[in-house]
Amino acid sequence: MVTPQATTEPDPILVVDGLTGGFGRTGESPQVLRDVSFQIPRGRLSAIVGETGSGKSITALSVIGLAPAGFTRTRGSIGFEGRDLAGLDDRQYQAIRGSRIAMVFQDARASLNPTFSIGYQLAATIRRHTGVSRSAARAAAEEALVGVRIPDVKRRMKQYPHQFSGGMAQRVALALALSCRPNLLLLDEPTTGLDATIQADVMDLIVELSERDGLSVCLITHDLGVVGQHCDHVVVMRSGRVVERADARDLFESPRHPYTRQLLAASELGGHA
Amino acid sequence: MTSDALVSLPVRGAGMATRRGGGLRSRRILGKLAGAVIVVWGVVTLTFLMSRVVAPDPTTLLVPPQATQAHRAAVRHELGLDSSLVVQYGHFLRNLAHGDLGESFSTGLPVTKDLSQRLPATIELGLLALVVGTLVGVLVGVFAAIHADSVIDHGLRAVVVTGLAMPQFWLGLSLLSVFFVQLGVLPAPIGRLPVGVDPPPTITHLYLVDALLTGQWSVFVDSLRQLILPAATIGAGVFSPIARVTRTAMVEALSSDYVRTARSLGFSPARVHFIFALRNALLPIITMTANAVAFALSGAVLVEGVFGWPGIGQYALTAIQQSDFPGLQGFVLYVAVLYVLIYVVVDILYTFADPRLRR
Ligand SMILES: Nc1ncnc2c1ncn2[C@@H]1O[C@H](COP(=O)(O)OP(=O)(O)OP(=O)(O)O)[C@@H](O)[C@H]1O
Ligand SMILES: [Mg+2]
Repeated sequence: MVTPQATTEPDPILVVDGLTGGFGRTGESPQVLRDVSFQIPRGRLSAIVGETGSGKSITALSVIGLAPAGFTRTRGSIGFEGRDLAGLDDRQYQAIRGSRIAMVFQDARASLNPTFSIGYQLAATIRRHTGVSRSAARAAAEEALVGVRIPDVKRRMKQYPHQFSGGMAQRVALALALSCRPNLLLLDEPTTGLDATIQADVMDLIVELSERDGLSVCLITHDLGVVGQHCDHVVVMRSGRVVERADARDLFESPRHPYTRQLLAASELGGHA
Repeated sequence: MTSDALVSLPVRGAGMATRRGGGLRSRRILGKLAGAVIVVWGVVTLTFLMSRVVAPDPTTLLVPPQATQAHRAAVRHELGLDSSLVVQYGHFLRNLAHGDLGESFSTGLPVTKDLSQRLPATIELGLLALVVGTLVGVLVGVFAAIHADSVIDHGLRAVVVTGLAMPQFWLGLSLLSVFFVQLGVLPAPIGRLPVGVDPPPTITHLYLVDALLTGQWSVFVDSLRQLILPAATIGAGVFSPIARVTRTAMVEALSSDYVRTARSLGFSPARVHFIFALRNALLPIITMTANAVAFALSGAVLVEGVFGWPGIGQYALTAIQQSDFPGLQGFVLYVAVLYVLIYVVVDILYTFADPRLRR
């Protein structure tokens, strides 16, 4: 096995180190994360790739403190803005979620609350973290929707998730996640299940927003095409381990780990090493 | 109307969101009300027919067995039972349209008067049981869902299942034997007030409220003490099914993507549970609460019997025993109107609870 290449990023926004854990009472059996270590560079797009079940989602959820019930972290630290998130209590974590770190999930329509209007969900989130007045929150909510290129914002504010298409709903989910200006955005397969053209639109929007706001983005995806096109840094995972970390360009040109080569070959994108 | 005579109201799930084009919400409600009138008319007509055809001739109960044939005929004539069914039905409908439900064979008073005397007792007891039973049921359901599959959840489930399985009159008798007979901390089952205590001045007919409004504290306390055990008994029948559906709906909501999103946005667990998740669990809770309202306000016959509660359930029981057609018809009319009203209100509440049901 090839030792993961050490990243020498000067000032990473996220430093995950030795993250280990699993399900079951002791987090030993079955173990789903084994000594996961990687860094997410600041202000750029990174990707976590790997086959189904390799632990990508659990890793991202652990970062935001929402690992599923039953998952126990047995070891490791999550460095973010000078703190180890692994040591935070619930309240401290709640203050960070949504405001410093946000996450967008796969099925956007399911991830919006069907019984509250889009405007309410946005304004409530903004008020949660800023405590501004209702009217200020509504204005900020409209702004957030404009920011993700949703047309006819005034009318959309009053609508409910079932009145949005998948692509539009994913924009709303992005607006929600970005409404309190987080520094780190985690995206767990944000475009899976959308039409190809809409996937491309949403990806373009994500890239544009990250450039505009200097946002650090960690994208979990199966789509190596997207990685090659947009991402600077790649973390490759397999059965709970990080097998390779590299700049995207290097990875596509000369994948070091045999598993990475397999992945690239399977996606018919690279692997000409 | 025993506890298991709950008529299930139709459940409308989110998946069945109707999207009939055109009409306004108010028009839909009007349509519902028109349908409601037809349902009430149907139920009342059916009761009329059943009571005339199936029930025993009330004159046999009103007239001594040794009475002459002539006397018997005179009584039948007086009660209007000697004319043809069609004529009787015509009479019945005409009177009904005038708000006249006839005179009770057993009390000799107008049925409307009988009902208006007994309804407040049933309503006061029913409302108290409903408010407490629903609140506790929802809270326990949410709590159990949050701690799903823990020891707490299993313990609560045992309580709920017991509440569902135990016959109401049996629970009432058990409570009486503990709190009245053995501990002596609550009063005898003799109705709404202890002997010798006068009701408060009438404002709403609900003793608790009237006593409060007129500042009669001792009457308030007396009346509350009389209410506790019967309300607890009916409240248990309200609590158990509501706790059960709340738990089920909340478990589903809590495992949803939108709850995970709310958490990922930093909302506190209280906000996530009681606002974001509970709102989504409301449809089945509304349905079950509607069933509970129907059950509690139509007079739990056996519970009223156990506690000597002078409500509508007892009146219905007497009417059945004595073939008191007008009394029984009055009761059935009340229950039919109650159910239909609940149905209409539930339909409106659904659209408030779930935007997918709106147009
Ligand atoms: N709630 C859970 N209970 C038990 N095991 C779980 C649970 N959630 C995930 N796992 C296991 O943890 C491992 C990692 O899961 P994870 O969801 O992180 O994979 P993933 O890399 O995101 O896969 P995918 O690409 O399919 O989303 C898998 O083996 C999975 O079976
Ligand atoms: Mg995943």
